[in-house]
Amino acid sequence: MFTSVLVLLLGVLVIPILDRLIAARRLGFSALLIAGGALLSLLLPGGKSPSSLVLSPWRPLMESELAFKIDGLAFVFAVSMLLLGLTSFSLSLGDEGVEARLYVARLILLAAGLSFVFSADLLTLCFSWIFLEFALVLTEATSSVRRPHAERMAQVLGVLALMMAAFLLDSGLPFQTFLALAVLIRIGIYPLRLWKLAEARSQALPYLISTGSGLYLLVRTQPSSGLLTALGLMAFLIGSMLAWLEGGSPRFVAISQVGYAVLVGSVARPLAAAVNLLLCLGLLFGQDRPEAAGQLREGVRGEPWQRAPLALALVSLIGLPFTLGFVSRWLLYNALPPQSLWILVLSLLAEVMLSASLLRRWLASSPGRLPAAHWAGVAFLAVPLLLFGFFPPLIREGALPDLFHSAEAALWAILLSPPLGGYVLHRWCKVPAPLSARLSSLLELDWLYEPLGRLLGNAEAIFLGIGRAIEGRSYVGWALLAVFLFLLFLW
Amino acid sequence: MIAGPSLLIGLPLAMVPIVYLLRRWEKLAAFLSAVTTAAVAGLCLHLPLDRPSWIFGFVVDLGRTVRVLGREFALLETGRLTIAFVFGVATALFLFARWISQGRSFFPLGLLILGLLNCVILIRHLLFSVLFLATASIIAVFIVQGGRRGSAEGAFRYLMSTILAFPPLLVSIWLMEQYALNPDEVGLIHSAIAFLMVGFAIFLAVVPFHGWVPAIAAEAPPLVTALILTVMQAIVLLLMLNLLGSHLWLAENPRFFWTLRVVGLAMVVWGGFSSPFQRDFGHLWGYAALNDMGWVLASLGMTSPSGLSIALWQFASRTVAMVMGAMGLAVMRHRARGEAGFAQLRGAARRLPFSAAGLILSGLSLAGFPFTIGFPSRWAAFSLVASHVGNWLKLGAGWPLLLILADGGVAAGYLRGLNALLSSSPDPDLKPEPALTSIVILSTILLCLVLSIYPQPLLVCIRSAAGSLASPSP
Amino acid sequence: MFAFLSSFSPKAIAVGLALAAGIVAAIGSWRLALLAFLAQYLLASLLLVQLIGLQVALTKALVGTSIFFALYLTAHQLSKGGWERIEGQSSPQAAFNSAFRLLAVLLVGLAVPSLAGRYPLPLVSPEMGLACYWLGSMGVLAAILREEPLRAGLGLLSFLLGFELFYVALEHSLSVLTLLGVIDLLIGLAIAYLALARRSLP
Repeated sequence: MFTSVLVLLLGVLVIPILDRLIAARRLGFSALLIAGGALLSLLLPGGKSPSSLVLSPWRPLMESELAFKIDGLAFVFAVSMLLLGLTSFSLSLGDEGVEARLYVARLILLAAGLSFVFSADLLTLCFSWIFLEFALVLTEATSSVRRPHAERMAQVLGVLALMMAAFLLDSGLPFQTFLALAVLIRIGIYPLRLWKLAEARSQALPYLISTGSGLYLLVRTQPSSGLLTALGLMAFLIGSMLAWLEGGSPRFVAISQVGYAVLVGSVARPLAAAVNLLLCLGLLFGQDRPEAAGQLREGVRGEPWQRAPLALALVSLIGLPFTLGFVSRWLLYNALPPQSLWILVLSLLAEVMLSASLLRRWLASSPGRLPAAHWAGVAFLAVPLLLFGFFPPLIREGALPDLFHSAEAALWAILLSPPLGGYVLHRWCKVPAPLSARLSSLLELDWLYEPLGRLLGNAEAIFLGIGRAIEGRSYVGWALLAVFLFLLFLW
Repeated sequence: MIAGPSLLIGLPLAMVPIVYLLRRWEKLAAFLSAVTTAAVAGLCLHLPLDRPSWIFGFVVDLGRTVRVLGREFALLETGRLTIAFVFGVATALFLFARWISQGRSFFPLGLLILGLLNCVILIRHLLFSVLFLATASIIAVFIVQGGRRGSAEGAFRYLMSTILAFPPLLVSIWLMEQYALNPDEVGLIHSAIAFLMVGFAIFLAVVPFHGWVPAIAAEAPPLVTALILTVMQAIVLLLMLNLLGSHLWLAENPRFFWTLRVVGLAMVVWGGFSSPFQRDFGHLWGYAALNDMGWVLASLGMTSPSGLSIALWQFASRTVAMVMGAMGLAVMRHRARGEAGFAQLRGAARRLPFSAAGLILSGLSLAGFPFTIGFPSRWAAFSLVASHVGNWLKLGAGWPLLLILADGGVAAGYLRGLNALLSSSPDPDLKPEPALTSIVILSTILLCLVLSIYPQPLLVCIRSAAGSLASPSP
Repeated sequence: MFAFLSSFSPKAIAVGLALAAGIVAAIGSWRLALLAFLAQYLLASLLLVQLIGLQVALTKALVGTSIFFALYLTAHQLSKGGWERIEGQSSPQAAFNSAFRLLAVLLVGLAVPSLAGRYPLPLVSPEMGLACYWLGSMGVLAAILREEPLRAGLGLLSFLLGFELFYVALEHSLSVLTLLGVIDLLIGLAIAYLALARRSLP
């Protein structure tokens, strides 16, 4: 089971050697095979049965252990991550000039993601968190992926929160607050999502592995509080509004869906929402192809059936029946208590805006002619999405009821109204472009982060000056030291 | 028959003039210095203390006492481990300095300092230990400046701190001797402890006497900084622990340990919260070292059976981290013509990836971050300190959070540095790092990563060292 | 000779020490400061003649003279390179700095006698104790008020001299005093080295 991680790490050593021996085009195939091998080792007999591995006991000075464990939940996320990796490698087969170090970075990223979901305790999770951050830094160093500095700092805060939670857990004290904070930072919920994704496909895998790890934590820990519900709802609403204003940009769809996952997590089991997010966004990002814009300009259009993967992703995000998105929505609205009318109303509003945005995206897109490698890539994500949609019990976490027999009419009305509302919104409600731009700017919080950055810069100068004075660079510091010594001896 | 103390002091001192004459041929000087220090470390580790041994036709009795002008020099188990540690570290530093020059006087004066530090360890009279330590520290001023023209602020602050540190220790020793003659005069103890604390506080760079650490970290050659902040501070800690072992009234004084806890925590907080505001790797490294030393002192002050072991473990991890950081910073400064500011090193990671990795990893180790060599010992220290501090200071859960945020501050400082190293295009004049230094740094990185997951080999040595030291308790 | 040297009044020597220490801390001219520094060591040696004996006193005088010559040669070499101009000795700023230093010396000088009275040093006479406190305070003040290593270093050596005058009363061991002398010499060398290293600053 843990051989999947070993296979990936072995691939990290093999790829640079192969780079010297085979053509650059074939390198992508090698990376694909390695990722496929990792997936196979996970799926082989006994892949889902719980097993554990203690990497280092750290006794006698500490009671903790460095250990890994696989159970059903970890298995689902591990498979999802590997599928995303397979898609990424497949889609890059058609790209020119992909260097070996890019594949190495992505294999390490996948290994880090798996390490994260296989962590057996909070302490091991701290290690995996840092491993994941290292992998993301490596990805930045070897590609065009750029995370802002503030995002890295936020992740430092996240691992500190996790360490605090681990310490409090060991001490038998309440730890849930810090754990929830760590989850929210890892998952990158609005407004903590500081990583402004570009539309580029190259950013998809790092982003999705990073967010997927956070989603895993969310599903594993299921922190529930009113604050989380409010936070999730706010993020869902604002993300959907931004997506509507910006024509269904994957970046804002991601913000919306992350908020949605947190909302579901605070009320019901969020596994379906989490997996849906990963697979759909993977498909959505996969639509970005360097040559697509050129083909569009030349009027080259693909066959209608070639838009099926995009359609599947959008449909699942909207949450139409026989999709995984529908399963997650069902779980949410079925679990809402009667007094949560405001949650219902606001989440429906968000869904309407999301549906409108996705419909707009569908109408504006044209992927052009798709190469065969692209089909292989999208199949890795599309097939599970369909399978889970038609056969929800495949995701066995929590008892998923028989949807079609137990649903009430009211629930069906709730489930089907957002797609209709989205169509109406798209058709008859147009936001003027200037207002749209202003609203987007307001909601993206640049007006907050930039002054905050300047304030921190000024604070830095002040603290630096104080520090230098106390070091002894000026009379003030020495005078204070003399007074301190005097008081010390007096006391 | 050659007595152990004569050999351990005489060998490095005897090599000083030879290495000094050969200082222009730095590679040869480095080799000779490294061989000398490796030989001393090897002798300490492999020769028994309780009986003579044959070495290259000579009979060497490591445990034999030597009297010079009425003062005894003798090697005990504690001293043996300390000398092995000190000279092991020095070997690594001398070997690396072969590729990245730290100044021509680094090798001869380094050996001289090490010889004097052996005098500190071996002499049985505390007064002379302090005097030899002061002498070694003053000689170190020359290698801190390292032949560099320009600012002498770092070296001067180090000189000033040494001059201000050793007189209180001398007075304290006299007061302790007076107390031994007049046990009824309790006031002597209070004065002795006060002077002792001031002296050690300056030597260990306790806040607010910490100014010399960021100054030398910013200006001195990195390997020299590592030598001072690991080797020399190890000797100071050993002196302190020997004091505790030989003066029971000090070991039983709860105020002393209370002070250790307070100053340790103050260093953790000050070093941690000062780090994110630094704009160059030198100052950042200094504050990270302060933060780390704070944890060592706080662990020592906990007076629990595991406190000493954790403090030693912490110090050992610190040493490996600092040596790795010194190597990385030495290469970067060498390639960047002496610059270590974030602005001057923009994009440098693309030309100097291993040095950058070593430097950043070293900083994160000092911050006690997971997946670094500093994490296991920091986790143990944090668990020990944080669980007691809340009760002791009656401040609830606020203290553990403050301590963890302080460590986060160090990490934040290094992430700022990483951001600069990864950004934009590097200076076109920045040459790539030498292949051999890359291999050495990479090996050290791998060692750190392995030890972060499997610290057990280190723990075996730590337990042995802790067992031989007097375990302090009130 | 011993009788002649012992005939000087400790009080007068202490006053002389105080004056010399004040000059080291306050005066801008490096020549005067170095001469005052030498005078400190010579006067301290006179005190030591009465305290501990001719041999140790002569050693101390020898150490002080050696340090004086090393620092004088260093300062002379620096002054050839326009050190005084670089350090702003002849600028209007220099006058302000001198006034500030004089004020600081006066302020500290006012505090020292009460400190010496409140915390008298054991095993030494009141005049000696005051001299030790004065030397130590002026020495630290001189080190704080100066950026340049040579002038600040004179302050540190003054501080150390004040400490050694006191410590000699506590510890009579020749080996200890010899080591202290070696330390003094090393400090002097280090100060000269740092002063020369700094000279290339713009």
